[in-house]
Amino acid sequence: MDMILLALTELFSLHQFLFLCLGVLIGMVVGLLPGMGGTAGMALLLPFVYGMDQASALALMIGMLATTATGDTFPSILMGIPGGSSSATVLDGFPLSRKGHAARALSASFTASLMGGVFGALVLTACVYIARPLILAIGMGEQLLLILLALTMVGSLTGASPFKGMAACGIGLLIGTIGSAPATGELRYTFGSVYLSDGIPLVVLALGIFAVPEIVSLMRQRSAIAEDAKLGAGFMDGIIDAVRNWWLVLRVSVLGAIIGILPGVGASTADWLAYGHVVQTSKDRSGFGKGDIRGVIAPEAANNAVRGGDLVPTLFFGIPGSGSMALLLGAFILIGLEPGARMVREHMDLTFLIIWSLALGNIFGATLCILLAGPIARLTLIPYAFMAPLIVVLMVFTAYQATLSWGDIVALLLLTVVGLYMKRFEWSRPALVVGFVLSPGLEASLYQTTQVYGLSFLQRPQAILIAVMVLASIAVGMKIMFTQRRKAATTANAAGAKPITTRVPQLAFTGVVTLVAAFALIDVLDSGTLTRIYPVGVAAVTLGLLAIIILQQCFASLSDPVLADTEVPDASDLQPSKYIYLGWLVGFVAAIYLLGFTLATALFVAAFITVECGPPLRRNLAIALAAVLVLTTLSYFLYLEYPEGLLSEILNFP
Amino acid sequence: MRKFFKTLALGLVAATMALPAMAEVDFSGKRIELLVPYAAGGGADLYARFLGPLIAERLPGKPTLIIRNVEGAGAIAGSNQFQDRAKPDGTDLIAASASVMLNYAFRDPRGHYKLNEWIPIISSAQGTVIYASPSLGAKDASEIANLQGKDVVMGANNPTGGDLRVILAMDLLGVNIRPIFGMNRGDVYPAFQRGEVNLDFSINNAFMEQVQPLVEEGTAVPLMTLGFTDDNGEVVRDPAQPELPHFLEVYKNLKGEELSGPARQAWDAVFNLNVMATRAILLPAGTPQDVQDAYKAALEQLLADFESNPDLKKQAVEVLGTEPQALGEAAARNLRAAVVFSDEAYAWLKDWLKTKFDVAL
Repeated sequence: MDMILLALTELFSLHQFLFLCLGVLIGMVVGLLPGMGGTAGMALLLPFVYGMDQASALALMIGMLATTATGDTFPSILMGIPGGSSSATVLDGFPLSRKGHAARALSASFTASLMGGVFGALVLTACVYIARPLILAIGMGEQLLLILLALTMVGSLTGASPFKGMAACGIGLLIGTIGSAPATGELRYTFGSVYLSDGIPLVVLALGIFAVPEIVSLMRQRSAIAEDAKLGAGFMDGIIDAVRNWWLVLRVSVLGAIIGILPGVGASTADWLAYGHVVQTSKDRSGFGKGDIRGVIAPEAANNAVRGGDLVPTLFFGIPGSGSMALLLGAFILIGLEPGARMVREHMDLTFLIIWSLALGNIFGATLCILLAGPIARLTLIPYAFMAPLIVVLMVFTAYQATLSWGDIVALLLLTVVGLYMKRFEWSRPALVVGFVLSPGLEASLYQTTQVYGLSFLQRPQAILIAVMVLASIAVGMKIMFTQRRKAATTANAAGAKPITTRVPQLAFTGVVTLVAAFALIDVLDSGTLTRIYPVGVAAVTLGLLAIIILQQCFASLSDPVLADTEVPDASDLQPSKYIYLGWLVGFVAAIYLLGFTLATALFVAAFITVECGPPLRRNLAIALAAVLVLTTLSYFLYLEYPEGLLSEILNFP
Repeated sequence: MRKFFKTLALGLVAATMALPAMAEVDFSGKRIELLVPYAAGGGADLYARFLGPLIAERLPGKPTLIIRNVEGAGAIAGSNQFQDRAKPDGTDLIAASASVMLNYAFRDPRGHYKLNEWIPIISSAQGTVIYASPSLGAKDASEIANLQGKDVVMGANNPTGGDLRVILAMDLLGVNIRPIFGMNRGDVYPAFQRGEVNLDFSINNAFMEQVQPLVEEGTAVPLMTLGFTDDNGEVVRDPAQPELPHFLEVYKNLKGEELSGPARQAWDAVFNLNVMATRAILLPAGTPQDVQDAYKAALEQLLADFESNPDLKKQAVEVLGTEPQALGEAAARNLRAAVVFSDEAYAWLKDWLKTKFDVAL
């Protein structure tokens, strides 16, 4: 106990305190740039850490790590751009902005972040005493069951048509198998390309499936992000929302911390699982995906709690659970510390300094963000013609930061097309993403568990406990699916949606999806057993679901949600076609290919504003120039890399 | 006395010849890019982040050095990019570790980089200790025969990666080793403590912190190292763990004869790849000699500074291990030995991987 307070007084010596604040600020800036996260921040700090005293260096680094997951909420909520760790926040955060509730959504999420982050610090404190028994109790079998538990949450995300939702999840699982098979290292579905060897990055998938389709509909409606161009609820409401949902915050924080502690599950799943959990456990689910504040609170609390959990294996075993933790480990060595059980015992003061830095970093970061939420939310009032091109630029930038390869941009375009049609025909996009994030962990732990335990892991009491939770979750999921279906059937006519007159486009899309799943099945048949068994199993189940959907679509009544089509062609439709805006995106990418990112940005921004908004040309060029200036400055200070074009290769300039 | 003057004279001549060459190389105001073909935070990344800036500040003109991570496809993406884009003027470097070399040695069709033409400026060995659970019934390497016939389970990432060295060693010793693939090093360590796997290995610089506590509480038994090649090319005991026998010793004691034939060639190749030349920093092919010399001088200075500065030395041991570092020609020799497989060794290994793990190289 003395130690805990001693560390606090040390942290409040002015010197360390300033470094903590500096770390918090750097974390916010790095987090603000979508696609950059804790790893980028650590890489940036590492050269400066060398030669600093231990306490200051720790305060600086932990302060930074505490707030990257807070800062990236701004682009998620305001622009619908999923960041490094807030990708699920987009689901309800962006719709809230569209309703004019940006300030409320932001402050709710920051308050939740704060609470989750402090909870993570508490977990870390407890782990000083219980880390080892905890990690030893959760074996391969338990990890497999936890992943299965997460997968059952899809039941609550399927939307009105359960079969379409489950099939979407199956497709997500299949997309997750692209790349090398965990058991053999053999490659699947890569078509000989180097890019696909590692699978599609989550950020690119989330951008393509969610973010770009939402921006396309924003552009079609020709409105500001806040549809009525006025701001509704303010930031105080958000704080109240988060505090009122404290029980939810606590539950998802536990979830986040556990995911952080287990290296096999992957920190990027935390916010999606938290989202699944909140939908599953809420009585009224009708608002999710359309702007329910709880859909923002849950993922944000979870992704800040992850940090506390993430630090457990790093500090106590010297095993990094993520890229940023691995860099932190490297930094420890640079300042003369050897992470591991011994460091925790012998340098108890530094351990508690880390914990306090984490807690205080979260509090400072969130408070700062809440203060900024009100003013920054005004961005959502800017007319679409100015905002949309900048968002598109930012999205392409984010996608490219995933692996710094042209593959990211091509994958983004292809996935955008998939996302647009899934949106149109109301296939559950969250179900697809949840399947995708869980797929690699599911396959690896299925194989490892059967190899090591067979089925004997089910005799362990902790495994039985989780297995019971899995069964309960399946039961709840079934109940949700069928009540949603009934509700949808009764409200479909009342809502005054345009009546559906044909089933051809719906069937055509299902047909294409079926062909893809069938291809996935056939393509791996001549690989080794361990390479093919998982994708073959998933593809077979998915094809079964798709067969049911096709039958339903052929014979169900036209008002059945299985035939949903939100874009029935209509003569009275005044909105421009989505293909025009898809064309803008393709045009921008083509320009990047020719001119390089910076020049293409200038051209694209100026052209888009001129076409959509008209002259004065001088103003449009000034905005374009400002965008370029920001890009170049960032590239210089953060050593960012942008896609290069043919032009720069010919002229050979940097 | 005459000899002394002769040496002095030769030294002077060498110095005057070297001086103008050195003077031409000047990096002032330049930015050196060190490409790391892995995600930030991995072993090779830390290696690069530690050595890179230290080398740069010892180069003439003290250039700034930035690290660029180009991850993907088991380091193939970054290596291909380096092959295509690196400028041979000393401003482009690459940090390579096991998979860059393995993918080259195993002739992965996705890679088109020519590792054997790149110029290593430093290469580092990574001594490996194999340890087992006491439940297997061997309290040291002399009782390795007790492992035969038991279900020996280890965690490994994939059949053709860096874990190959341990799988092959145990298999050659007649141990029925059953690797569970798809596990990262970070997953394996807790799994060993949970008893899910009963044989594991550690690199030397992680051994003290991670394995020694387990040895002290009696839940792990160190069995052997994989050895180390000395200056004469002989495989000897690992200088970091002199009390432990190395693999070839254990093999000879167990079987009564030296490991020989194509299996020996394959072992040597894997040993060189996974132990002796696990990490290196390289210049692209065609880099002029004077630039190479400038790098060599910077590295010699750095190794001397390690010895004179205890703080720096401590970090160097953490990151690089206690093994001696190979520079210039020696580095090139280690690396070539590792990445250029004889056809017999390659054929033997290919066949072994196919029959054991149904994996095609």
